[in-house]
Amino acid sequence: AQSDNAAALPQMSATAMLQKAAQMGSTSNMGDQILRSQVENH
Amino acid sequence: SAYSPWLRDLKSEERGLFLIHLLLNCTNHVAAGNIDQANAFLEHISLLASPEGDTMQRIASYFTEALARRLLRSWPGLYRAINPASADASFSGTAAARRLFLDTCPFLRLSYLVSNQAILEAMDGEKVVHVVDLGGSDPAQYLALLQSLAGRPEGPPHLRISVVGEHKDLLFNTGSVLSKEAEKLDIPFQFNAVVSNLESLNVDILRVKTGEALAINSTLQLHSLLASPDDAAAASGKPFSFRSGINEHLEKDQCSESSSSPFNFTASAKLESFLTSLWGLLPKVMVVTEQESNHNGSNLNDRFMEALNFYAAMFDCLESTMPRQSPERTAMEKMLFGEEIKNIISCEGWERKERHEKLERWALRLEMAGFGRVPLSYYGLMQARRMLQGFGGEGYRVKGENGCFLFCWQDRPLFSVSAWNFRRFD
Repeated sequence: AQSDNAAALPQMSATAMLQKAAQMGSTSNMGDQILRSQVENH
Repeated sequence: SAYSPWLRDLKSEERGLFLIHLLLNCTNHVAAGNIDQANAFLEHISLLASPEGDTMQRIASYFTEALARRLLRSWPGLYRAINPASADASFSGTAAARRLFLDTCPFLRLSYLVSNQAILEAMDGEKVVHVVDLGGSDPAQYLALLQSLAGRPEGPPHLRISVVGEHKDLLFNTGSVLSKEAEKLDIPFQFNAVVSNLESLNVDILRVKTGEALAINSTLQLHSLLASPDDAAAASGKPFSFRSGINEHLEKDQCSESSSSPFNFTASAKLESFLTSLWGLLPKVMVVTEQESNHNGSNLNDRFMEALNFYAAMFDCLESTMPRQSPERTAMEKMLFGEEIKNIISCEGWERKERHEKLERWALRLEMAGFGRVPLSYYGLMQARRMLQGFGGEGYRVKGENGCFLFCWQDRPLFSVSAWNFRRFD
């Protein structure tokens, strides 16, 4: 069901996600950043 | 769970990044033996991962299963009760999945093409040729070889093909397919089915005779001989942070490996003695195809990170080739890659067979056993590139490097092919 809201946008490859995750830095910071972007977007 | 209210609204990219974050944290806890914390992360991941979802959801579902199995293995009773030993039950499924992989991704066909070309060049002008295959299960490669040999200007040689494998029925099927083709092409041909696994293979039963020119072919087989009992203690290790974990890995991938010394590997008595016995058969050529990744580190975190990067590229490749709903795609992901991931992450010691290593380490191991490199030809490279053009898929590449070939998805090498000779040329 979670793939439904993917819409028609071209999706980021898993490889690109791993690269982006690496750029985002440490494991703990990353969770915070994702959380924050969630809060900001809603 | 504290996350669950907004989990449903995550977009693919955010969910993917969050899954990576959860997976790496979970691996840290699994490696450290913190079962309660690991369990909590597994619970979060299970809300997001799915074998039928987008690429990262699919990858996450196989990696979490592998992590869970690793934890469960610390209770052998529990583990065995829900995983009764039945190695053969899944065999036909695996064989079917491998066949699908052969037909949907060009990697195995490229390997067959390039390997055959190296064998043809080494066997040029030879009148009696013996080809030994170490565990290939598909007759496709040798059908093509028979056709090429039949078209030689000097005429076909007397040909013997010995195939080593554990499954008698499969070997006999291969034998009958090849014998029919040889008869049709009028090639004097003998097929030799060697029912054995690689570990217990005594090369004497290959009956290599003096006067015949020998070619050995190994496709995705040699790494299983790196299995050893001695690394269970080193299995858990220091936890990684992103900085020392993922970045280091990506950097390593991008700037060739200079940071990780290729000399820094554990000797493997089993593989060494096997390679030495093959060398003793004096092959004119030995062609080796292997996965181009280091999945043989003793540290779980390192292995996890390497495998995550490797299989991300592999799953991306399937994503670009097949629709998400395809049952064939799910079969390959589950039966081939899912099984490999499980073995890399949850097993140790003799049970850990998927010990993929990069070409530079194979080169060292083969050179230590006395082999010299035979550069693959430019003609082989051209043939491989032509095959890719015919295949039509964007994103696949063949790269030549030091006389060896790398088959890539985008910029990431996934498989290597190299050729060797018992004699050093230098």
